[in-house]
Amino acid sequence: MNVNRPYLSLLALLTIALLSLTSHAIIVRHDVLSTDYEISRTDYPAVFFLERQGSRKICVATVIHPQWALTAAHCTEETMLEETVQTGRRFGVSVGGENREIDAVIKHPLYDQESSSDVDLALLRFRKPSATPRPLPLQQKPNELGAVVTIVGWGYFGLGTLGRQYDDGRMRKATNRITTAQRYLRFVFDDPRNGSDESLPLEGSPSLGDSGGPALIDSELGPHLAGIAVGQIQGADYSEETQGRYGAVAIYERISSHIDWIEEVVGSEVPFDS
Amino acid sequence: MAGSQHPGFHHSHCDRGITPGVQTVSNVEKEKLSAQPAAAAEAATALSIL
Repeated sequence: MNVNRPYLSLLALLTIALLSLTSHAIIVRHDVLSTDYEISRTDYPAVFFLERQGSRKICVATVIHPQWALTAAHCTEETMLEETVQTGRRFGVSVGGENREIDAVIKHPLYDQESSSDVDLALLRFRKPSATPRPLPLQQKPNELGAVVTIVGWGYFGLGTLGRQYDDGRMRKATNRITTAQRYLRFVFDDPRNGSDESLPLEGSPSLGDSGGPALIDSELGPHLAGIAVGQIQGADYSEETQGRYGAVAIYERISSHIDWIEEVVGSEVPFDS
Repeated sequence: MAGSQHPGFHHSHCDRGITPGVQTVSNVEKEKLSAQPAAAAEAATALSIL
C-alpha cells in the first residue's frame, strides 16, 4: 500500500542509522573518529573477554603467567565463571586465538564489596599452562603517577559529551593519564572543549562491561599491567544513564600494591616471563 | 566464604594446599591499608562497578 511507503522508508533509514551508531564501541572523545579507537584482538593477544552475552562481551582479563590471568573479582560473579568453577566444571575462554579452560578462581582475601578496604582482584588459573600468548609483565614500581595508560576492553560505546550509549561488543583502546596513585589508580576523562591540553589525542574512559580490563603503561620493554578496571567514582553529577561522560573518574586496582599476593598465589616471583 | 567450600573455587588460603602461611599475606595487605589513612578514605568513596 502506498500509504505505508513513507513509514517503511523511515523505518529503513532508522535501521541504517541505528546500525551505523552501534558499529563502534567505548566512551571516546566527541571530536575524534570513533574508528580511531578500534583495535583487533591480535593487538593485545594476552587480553581476553570472559563471557559473551548476545552481542555483548562481559568483563576482561589479562594473561600474566603461562597458567594465570588477572581480572576484577566481581567479574567472576557477573559472569558464569564462579558458578561454573564452583560446581567442578571448567570455564572456557578464547585467549590469543586458542580455546583454554579456567579451572580455579582465587579471589583476593580482602575482596568484599561491602567493605571500605575491598580489593577487587581475582586470579584465574588455566587448566594447562601455555607459552602463548606471551604474558604481560606486571608494573612493580609504584611510580604510576602522571603516566599515560592504555586501557582496553569490549564495553559500552559512547561519546564524552553524552556518556555510554550502545554496546556492540567491539574491542577498542583509549589512553588517559594517571592523576592519583594511592590505594587505587585514578584518571579523569578530560573535556577537550575546556581549552587545556590535558586531553590526550585518543583520551577515553572505561564503561560498563570493561571491568577487569587492563591499564597498561608502556616502557622500552613493552606494555606493563599497572591496573585492573573496577569502577567509576559516583560524584555529584553521576548518573547511570550518562556514566563515562566528560569528568568521569575511573578507578583501577593498583597492581604494584598487590605483587606479594600475586606471587604467593602463583607460587613464583615476578617477573614471571623471565 | 561459601566459595572456598567448593572444588576449584578458592580464596587464596585454599589454593595449592596453602596453609595458614597465606594468612600472613592477608595480614600484610591489611597492614598496608591501615598504614595509609588517605588510601583508606579513598576506598570509602562510592564506586559504580563497571
